[in-house]
Amino acid sequence: MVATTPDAVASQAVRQKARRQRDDELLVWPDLVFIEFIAAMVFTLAITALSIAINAPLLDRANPAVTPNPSKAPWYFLNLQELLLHMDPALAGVVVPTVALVALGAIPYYDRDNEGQGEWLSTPNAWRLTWIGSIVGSVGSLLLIAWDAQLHVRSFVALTGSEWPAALNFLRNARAIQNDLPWPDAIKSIPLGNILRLDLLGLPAADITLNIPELIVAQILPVSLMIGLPIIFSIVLWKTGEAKTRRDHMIAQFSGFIATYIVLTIIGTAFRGQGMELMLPWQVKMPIS
Amino acid sequence: MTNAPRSAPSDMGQSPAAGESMDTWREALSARKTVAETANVPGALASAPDIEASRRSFIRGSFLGGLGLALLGSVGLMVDYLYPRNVRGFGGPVPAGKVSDYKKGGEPKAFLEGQFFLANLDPADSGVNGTGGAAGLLALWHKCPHLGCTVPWRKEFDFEGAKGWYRCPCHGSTYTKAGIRVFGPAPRSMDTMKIDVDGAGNVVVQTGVREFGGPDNPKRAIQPPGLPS
Amino acid sequence: MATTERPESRSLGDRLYDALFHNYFWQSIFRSGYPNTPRNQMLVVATNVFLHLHPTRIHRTHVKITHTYCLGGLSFFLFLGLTITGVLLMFYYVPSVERAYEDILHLHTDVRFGFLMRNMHRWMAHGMVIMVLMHMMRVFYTGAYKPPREFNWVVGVVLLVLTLLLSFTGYLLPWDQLAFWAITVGTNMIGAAPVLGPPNKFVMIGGFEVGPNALIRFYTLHVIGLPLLAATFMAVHFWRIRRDGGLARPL
Repeated sequence: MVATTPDAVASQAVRQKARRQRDDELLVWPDLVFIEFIAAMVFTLAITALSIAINAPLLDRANPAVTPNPSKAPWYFLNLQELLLHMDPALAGVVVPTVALVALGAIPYYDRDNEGQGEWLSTPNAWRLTWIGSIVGSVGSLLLIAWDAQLHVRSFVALTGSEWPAALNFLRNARAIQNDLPWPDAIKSIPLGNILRLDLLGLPAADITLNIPELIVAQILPVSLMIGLPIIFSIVLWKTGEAKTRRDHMIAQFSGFIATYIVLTIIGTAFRGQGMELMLPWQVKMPIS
Repeated sequence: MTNAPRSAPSDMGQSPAAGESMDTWREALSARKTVAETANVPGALASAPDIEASRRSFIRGSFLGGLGLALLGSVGLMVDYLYPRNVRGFGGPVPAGKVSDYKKGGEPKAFLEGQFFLANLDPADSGVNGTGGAAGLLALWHKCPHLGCTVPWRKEFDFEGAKGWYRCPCHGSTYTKAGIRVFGPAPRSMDTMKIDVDGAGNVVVQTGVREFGGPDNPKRAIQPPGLPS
Repeated sequence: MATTERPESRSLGDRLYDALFHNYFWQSIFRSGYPNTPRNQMLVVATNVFLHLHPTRIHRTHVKITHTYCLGGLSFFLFLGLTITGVLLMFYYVPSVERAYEDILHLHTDVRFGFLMRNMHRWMAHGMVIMVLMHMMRVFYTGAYKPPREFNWVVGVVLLVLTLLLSFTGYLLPWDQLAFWAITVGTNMIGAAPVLGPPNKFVMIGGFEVGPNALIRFYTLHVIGLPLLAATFMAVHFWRIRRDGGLARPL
């Protein structure tokens, strides 16, 4: 998307300006050191006050025989635990975080233009894109969670007073696609041992059966949503002219990612109670953090 | 030495450099503003730069003072945090069972945690290794007064025709049942500890309250109510 | 030192000041004078090992609080605070299944300021995770990852992961129900990965279930392994900020 010319323009701009403009510089002591000192003091006092006011949680002694309901990971992993409810554990627990971190690390290698660095939201559309990205990310993830929690079914029943039509049972949630569609039995258990002939290599025969509907629900559907929706989002932004540069696309995607991350963390922390059911925060009886 | 940087200029002021005209130096000296002159001018007790300087040094002083106090507080907090509390075992009270557990003239019981032997001594036991007339509970610190080895009670040890002595394995200091030294390089008899007995008959030895051993060891035995006789 | 014009009236305070700060010993520690002149202010930053993380001068825009909100610096500050409170907690904590929980109770009931140390450690740990995430957002939205700072962004992502791991390993140490089951759930997520998951989990918790081996592993990682790694990456992170010309600013 970015031609080589902006780089040339940028380097010209650098040449035109003096390398260092002493007039615009301040001494680190006292101008920066004092700010840091004050920030450190304020933080020390705030944390001391917080620690005096609120005790760190401590439950009963660890007991492997008694599992509390719900059992939750630390809050910063609850976004992953939330994903775990909707897809294959391998995908949610390992693949998604790994891919997310690699993608995060790759941002500067994709958006290489050094125009607009060191400035808050430098491109003309940046603020708009931040808002659009955040809203799309949070609303999108909320809708997906609501769908998988059958909130649309519950509200349909509450509003119309009648049952959810049986013909549409497969639209109840993700798992319903596997359970309520007439999949032929043949594809529900394909013995992979007949294809993966490990016994020919002298290894024990592979005792795996492939369940295609299960694969679709637990793997293919979430993966295509997680990859497809951001791509569609970027294409829409590009076609409508909202996002013009790579930086624009990065801002929209990053904002969407952060919003999704925050929404998933909040849902996982405050809205998941007994049995990891969706409920209101005051019904969740569990110390947060 | 310490005043060198500040006093140097004034020294130079009083002794003109060679070759400089005495008159110009005098002129400069008289033109110089001194404290005495400014003090003589009414209404100019302190000039503006002085106020500015003292304001700055006040702020600096209170800042550094506050910082010092905060650091001192943190260090004090850490020391208080690290100061051990509720230390159990030797040095504090160590429970030693019930009074009724101690048979009269029975074998001394060893308490490793409290580093002592506790026995109910029988005054009738008057041999060379005997009690020296002690009657009741006596707690002996198991540390040899010589060089600090742990002294065991050796029931079968035969010395001067009697069996049953406290004998130090290091240099052979030997003590009677009341901890009286009869042999060896130890400078004195075994040290004793204070014994407390509550109304229910629970024995607690105050391992931190110790007395140097001496010929009066037998007199330190106590006879609480309920002691088997 | 400026020449004084009042040679005869040096007050007691002045003389005390001289005796304290103008002696051979003091000047062997602090080679520059009190930083009240531009020369001394630059010298104090350049010659002090703790301050020399900074350049001696900085662009006017970068001391504006709204440019950085001090987020990176506060993350580092929280790391230092966590190190101090963590070392203090180590004096009273034994990472064994028998003692760990009792030691935490002991910290709350018997040790003076023990509750404060534990609470501060806990809240600072949560604060550091939040602070690091917010620092990442700040760097992203100010475009500070752009050339030549691409790799420092990657180092930052590594530091984010290390922060999460530090917090996660510390989570098990109190050995209460919250800790035990959070780590069980967390490590089960790792164990769910297709091929490498189960062996990874096995190595991580030193067995099939969270138990004594997991506790000592998490403890060792928490108190020495990960902090050393994080400190190393932080050194790289700070060094590269300086090498790449300080904070990013408009061209």
